[in-house]
Amino acid sequence: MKEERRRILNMLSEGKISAQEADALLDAVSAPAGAPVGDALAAPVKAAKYLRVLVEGDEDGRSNKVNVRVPLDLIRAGMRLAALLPAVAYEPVNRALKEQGLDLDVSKVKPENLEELVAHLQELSVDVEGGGEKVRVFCE
Amino acid sequence: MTFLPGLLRVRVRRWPALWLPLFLLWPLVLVLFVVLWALVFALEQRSPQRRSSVFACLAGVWRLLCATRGTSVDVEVASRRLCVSIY
Repeated sequence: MKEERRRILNMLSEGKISAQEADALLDAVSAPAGAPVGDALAAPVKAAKYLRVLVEGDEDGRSNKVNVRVPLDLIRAGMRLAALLPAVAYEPVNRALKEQGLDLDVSKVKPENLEELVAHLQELSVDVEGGGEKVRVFCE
Repeated sequence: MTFLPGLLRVRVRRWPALWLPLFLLWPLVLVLFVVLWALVFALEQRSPQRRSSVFACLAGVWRLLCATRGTSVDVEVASRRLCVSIY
């Protein structure tokens, strides 16, 4: 135990780890077997499965609510299917996207990019409030 | 292994929810896919370069159908409510 603590403190003094990481490591070393450890060593967060869109608003005193839950697998499958579009279809898609203010060349989007996009969607969280409406987009 | 969605739940206003057994459509979908795959094999004889894209497209549609499981849409506008869930 002492040896481990000394190694952690050495790593801290050499600048190999930050003070927070050292703290988490010391907690882990001193914790009894099977006990939960600090954030730095905790198990990875469970991957999100759904994209949720919540909209709440009032119109003429009546409340409107929209609650949509879309599986991330559905987004993934849809994008894979879209990747099969023939090359001739890219031009009108690019043009339509540009008209909407999105200057993107769809032909240059590779399947790896799509996977990366879905993976990063899991970290997405958008909260918009204004004009009597509240919009929340997040993954769960 | 992902399966096709089995049940569709629809609820309109405050009426009792309607559960539609989508699993009853599975045999029909499977037959349709077998026929389509047979057609793809027939096409393969004529234009082999299109084979891979048609197969990929069929597989993509299958994946898309399977991935709809878990989708839920709940809309409430001025005391009118529609709720659709796929299980």
